[in-house]
Amino acid sequence: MNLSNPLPDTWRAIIIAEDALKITRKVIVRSPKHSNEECCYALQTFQSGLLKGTVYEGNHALKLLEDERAKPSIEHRKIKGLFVLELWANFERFLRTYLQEKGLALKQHVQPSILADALYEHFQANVERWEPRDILDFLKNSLFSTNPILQQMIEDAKSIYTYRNWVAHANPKKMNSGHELKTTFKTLNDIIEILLQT
Amino acid sequence: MTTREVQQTPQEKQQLYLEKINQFFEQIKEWLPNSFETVRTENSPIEDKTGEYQTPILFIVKKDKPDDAVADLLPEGISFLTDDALIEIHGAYDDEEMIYMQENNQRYTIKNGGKCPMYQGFVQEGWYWITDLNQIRLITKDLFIDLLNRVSAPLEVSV
Repeated sequence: MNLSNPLPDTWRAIIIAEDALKITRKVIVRSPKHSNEECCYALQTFQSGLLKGTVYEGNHALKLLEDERAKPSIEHRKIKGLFVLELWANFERFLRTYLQEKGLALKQHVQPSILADALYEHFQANVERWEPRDILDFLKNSLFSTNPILQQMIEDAKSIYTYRNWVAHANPKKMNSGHELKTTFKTLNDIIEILLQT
Repeated sequence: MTTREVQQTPQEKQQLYLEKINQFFEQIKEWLPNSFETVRTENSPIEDKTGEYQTPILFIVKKDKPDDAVADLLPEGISFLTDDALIEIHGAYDDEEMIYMQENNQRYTIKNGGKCPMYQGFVQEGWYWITDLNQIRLITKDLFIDLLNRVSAPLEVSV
């Protein structure tokens, strides 16, 4: 099996984006305002140079980055939600590809081979339509049935799927925390690692 | 029965969360050096999976410069995934996240065939600083000052 875990690369990209957003927000919103004149001039020149290269300048950027109570803005939090969607999309793609590869056994072992090919084609197409919860349930009842912690990990993944749907379809205030993002990554990443080892 | 199995209503969860926030904010007031003080605002709107409600916010300021916040402590809500209470701390340089952990709320994974907590570093029930992807540290007075120094300019402490 040539499958590899896609989530560490996704996680690195998320960290880079998170850091970039944080630094941007700090530079624009929290830069010192009471330095001496020379420092102030250098800082303002630097900041205006930075702002020239952004789509949203000045007050528009402030509103998009941080609200009046110094909280990251709804737009900023929405991006965390997009990261959750990205992690889930990678996880779900991995699960389907993993099952399709396992299903190759149908092609190799069923006789006659003309039936095996048709059976595999049907299986491969249908895996794309299976409900994520159904996939997680049969993993829980098979590979992950041997240990209560493994079973709980699958239940946690189902909660992440519910959270993913909440992020995508509800969640008007975009309350996505860093802890939520870490929990999503760690849970889905560990499930993939276990699948790759078995 | 573990805490994770206890069924609480959304209102009960909110009430417990607010109690933990209030206790923590009171503790922080006692931990701060004399040259610092806290300013508290009430009724900051929040929405999480338990619904809409209001929480306090705590601003840490220098006594001689009360308009310049050293750090803001902003309740984030109750975790959708783990039901844990969360607070963010925002300073000029960085933001960090704190989580209320209890023995029964710990989550585990399997690593190298063995049981492994999602976050290493649990000692006792209390507020923890999430220092890394897999690491938490119990917040004591000294660690809280370290945390402030991380998120803001180093404190010029005159105790």
